[in-house]
Amino acid sequence: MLAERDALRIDLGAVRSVTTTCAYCGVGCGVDLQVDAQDRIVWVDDRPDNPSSQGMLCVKGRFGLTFVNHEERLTRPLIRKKGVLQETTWEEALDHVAEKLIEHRESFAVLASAKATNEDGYALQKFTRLVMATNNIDHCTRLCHSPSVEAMLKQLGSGATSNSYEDYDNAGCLMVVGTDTSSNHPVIASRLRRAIDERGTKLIVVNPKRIDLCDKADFFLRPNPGTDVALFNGLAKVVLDEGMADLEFIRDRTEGFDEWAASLSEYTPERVEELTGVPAADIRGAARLFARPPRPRGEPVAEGGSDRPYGGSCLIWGMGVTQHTCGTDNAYSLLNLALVTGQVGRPGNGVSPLRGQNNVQGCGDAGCIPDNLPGYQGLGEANRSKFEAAWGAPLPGERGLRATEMFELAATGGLDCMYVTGENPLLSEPYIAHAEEAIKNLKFLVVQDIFPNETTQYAHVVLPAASFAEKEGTFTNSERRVQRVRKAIEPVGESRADWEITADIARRVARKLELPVEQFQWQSAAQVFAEMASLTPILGGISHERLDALGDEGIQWPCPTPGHPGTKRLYTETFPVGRAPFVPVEQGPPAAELPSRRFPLLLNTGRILYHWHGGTMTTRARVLLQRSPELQVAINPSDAVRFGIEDGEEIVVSSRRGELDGKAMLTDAVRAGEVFVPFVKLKEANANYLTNAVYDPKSRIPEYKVCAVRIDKPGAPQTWRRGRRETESVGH
Amino acid sequence: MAMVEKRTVSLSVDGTSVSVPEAGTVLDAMLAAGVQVPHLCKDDDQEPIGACRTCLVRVEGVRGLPASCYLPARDGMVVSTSGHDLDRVRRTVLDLTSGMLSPGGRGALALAAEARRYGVDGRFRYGDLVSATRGAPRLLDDSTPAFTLDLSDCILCGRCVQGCQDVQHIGAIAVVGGGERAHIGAFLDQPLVESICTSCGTCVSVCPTGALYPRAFGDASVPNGGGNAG
Repeated sequence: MLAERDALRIDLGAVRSVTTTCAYCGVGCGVDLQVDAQDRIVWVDDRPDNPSSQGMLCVKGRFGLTFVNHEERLTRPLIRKKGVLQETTWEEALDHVAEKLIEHRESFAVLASAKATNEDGYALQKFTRLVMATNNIDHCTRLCHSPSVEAMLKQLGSGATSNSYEDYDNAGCLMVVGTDTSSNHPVIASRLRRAIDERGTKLIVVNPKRIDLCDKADFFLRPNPGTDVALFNGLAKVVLDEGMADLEFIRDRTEGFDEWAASLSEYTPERVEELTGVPAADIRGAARLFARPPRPRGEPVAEGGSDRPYGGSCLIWGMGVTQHTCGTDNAYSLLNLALVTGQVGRPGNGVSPLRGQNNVQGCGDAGCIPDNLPGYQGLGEANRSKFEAAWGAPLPGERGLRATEMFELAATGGLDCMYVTGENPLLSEPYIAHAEEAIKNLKFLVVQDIFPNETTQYAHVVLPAASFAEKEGTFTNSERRVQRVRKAIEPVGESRADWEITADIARRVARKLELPVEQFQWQSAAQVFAEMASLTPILGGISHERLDALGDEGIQWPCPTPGHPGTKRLYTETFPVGRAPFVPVEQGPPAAELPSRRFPLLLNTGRILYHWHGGTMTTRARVLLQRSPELQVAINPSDAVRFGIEDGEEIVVSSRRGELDGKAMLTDAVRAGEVFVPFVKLKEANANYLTNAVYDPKSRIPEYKVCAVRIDKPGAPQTWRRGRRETESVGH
Repeated sequence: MAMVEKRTVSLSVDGTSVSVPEAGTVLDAMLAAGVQVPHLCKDDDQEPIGACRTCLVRVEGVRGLPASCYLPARDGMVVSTSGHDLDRVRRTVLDLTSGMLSPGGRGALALAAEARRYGVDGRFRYGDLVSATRGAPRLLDDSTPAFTLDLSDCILCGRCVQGCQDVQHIGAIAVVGGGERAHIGAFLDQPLVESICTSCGTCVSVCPTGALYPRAFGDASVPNGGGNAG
């Protein structure tokens, strides 16, 4: 039963080993959970045959999955009585939830979880649409890649990654934009390093912060925060001016080229240097490398070599592109560059928004978004009638609320009731103090999660969910690979799989409302998946049975029929939109809030290797918490001198909205005038007390990446606060 | 498109005829024939290192005792994995290897079965020579909370170095120093936590002797700080 491999000859007491998929980021690494007789994970082994991870794992996957055994797991349903959350039975909790959801059915919204399985997501959106008669369902993609999705939907017709990790192996050039890949997707970073080391692949890093991958970069472009549009317009202009545009691709596959090309006339390398701070020579060099990279050395992997005389370029990006008030415009400018160079739809090239959560791709695929039914089928008449026929009741046709809109509405009393699953908005929303007000306004809040968190504190009912290690299902990773999640241990306490809890609630509500109760009678996760596949063409050929038979392989959607092998690469012949439109974009103001005299520094937020997102899971894994126990504020040494701060000193970082305590870490990875704070919550400090609740008008993503802050020694902020009031009164 | 038939080669291992793919090694053929021979430094999923010399074989018409992990399989090879001189040499190799390990420690335990099988019972005492002369600057590195590196259980096979570089492309550790001072360590012998090591644990998963071993997971019984079980 234990792994057949001979490694790790120490007896850790494991009695069984279960192959499943890692629950951290969107890479989707294969793992073997080795479990002892007390159902504790004692070791996590890698899976060399898994095509997405190829035997690699990072510290979170290897040592961080032990959170499932943490003593703080929610084990029984909780119900608020006389203001206090008390343990109760499932019967009472579910009956109460059903009753309240019926009462507030007219003003109800759902936050789905990108940590949960595809099956959990499908069940939840079905309940929301069929029983609660609303499309008010969304998930955290609103806070990470909604601008990418928005832009990709318009220009390509689908929001998913176009290529496979295999294309990174075969690329001639990798352009990594706004992502600290070594921290956020460490196994992808390993794969990029391998390509660079073994095949001579070129690397262009675009990031205001110097990241680890810069050690291997041919070009490190360091634009001023919020000037990505200018930079990418500038790169595209060099491509045009130097005759490196792929004219054949532009003629056959795109539209709107002339108008877009004219819009670039002002973006000469010299002007772009003024706007972005990136030297004109680097702009020219990077553009040449991206448009005409050399072919990589050696034999192509899996016969996926470039079919052109030059190599392919992969465009890989993260939140540094999206979490801006101009996030969607940034994404348009990136895609324009990929289109003008024809670097999409061929072996060794493509566009990849790296997905942050293990199943953020799958959560959207399953339909947990306000404007699409499962499989990105729009809310139009034809699609709705297909689902209505299958589900036996009418469905709402109006687009629902997006996650950020739910909180804006709740803040003004316009939303009464929320069902939040596996999300912690009071850690992840910008300007937390504001989000807290919104949550307090809700008349009824039910939270379904594995740990108590900031949001459960305000819940009227808390439902304990089983973790990924305790249930069957599937996750879909960043390269659209649907992979199995398998039960390794018994559910902790009385916790249950999310889809089962949702189905229980759905049956109770449906019975009262005389809606089809039999629509929620699944006996297994495999049955939920089968129903989803039957209604979702991109998943039509996938089933648990087929995935199990394939071992570590998984299947990349689209996979319409049981005989279909899955799809490594999208857009090889055509785009779902037909011809891909170029979208002219202009550089606007870099950010909503810029440094001032009182707040002289620019705050950038992101992640560090040892923690994942808010830290609900990683702070409950001993190794990770010990490795990184407190919030480190990265400060340039010259700013440290300017503000009289020493390395390792306790400091207070404050913005117009709040403050946090952290430890100064002096590093030239950040430039003078900029500070970086990871957005994990450690010792009560969290970057989102500082961030600005301003949004990209096109996607409604918050501007997490830029706001103005100041740093002080502890105790000192009193002075500026007083100063602020004085200044304000003078101003009035 | 017609499937390209993969070429195989046939050879004899201890009198049993086996076929392996053309790119295979003699060790692959031995494993395919079900022959159990120690091969401490060969990871199932990695290229051979050829460091531990425990997988020695005799091949008819070939001089000396080559390491089977590194020897390409050829048609018609006649391979033996045991026999008087082979057993004697393998015993000496295992004795020298065991001599690198602290007695009764994790590594000695991991090698115990093989040592017993080949009669390494301390009678030869070659190992004592090794342990007497071998000195490393730091025996124990428990600077990362994830795992401990205990050099007193290390046989210098290099699998951890291979895992760090060839699997993860990090390159945080190497065989540092030469001769009797050779040991596994980070750049400038820094503690791992101060090196570029990311605690990904690949080295731990490939270590054949437990010189790299995981610290307690979650709430399991081994206390923080690990300690030198040897």
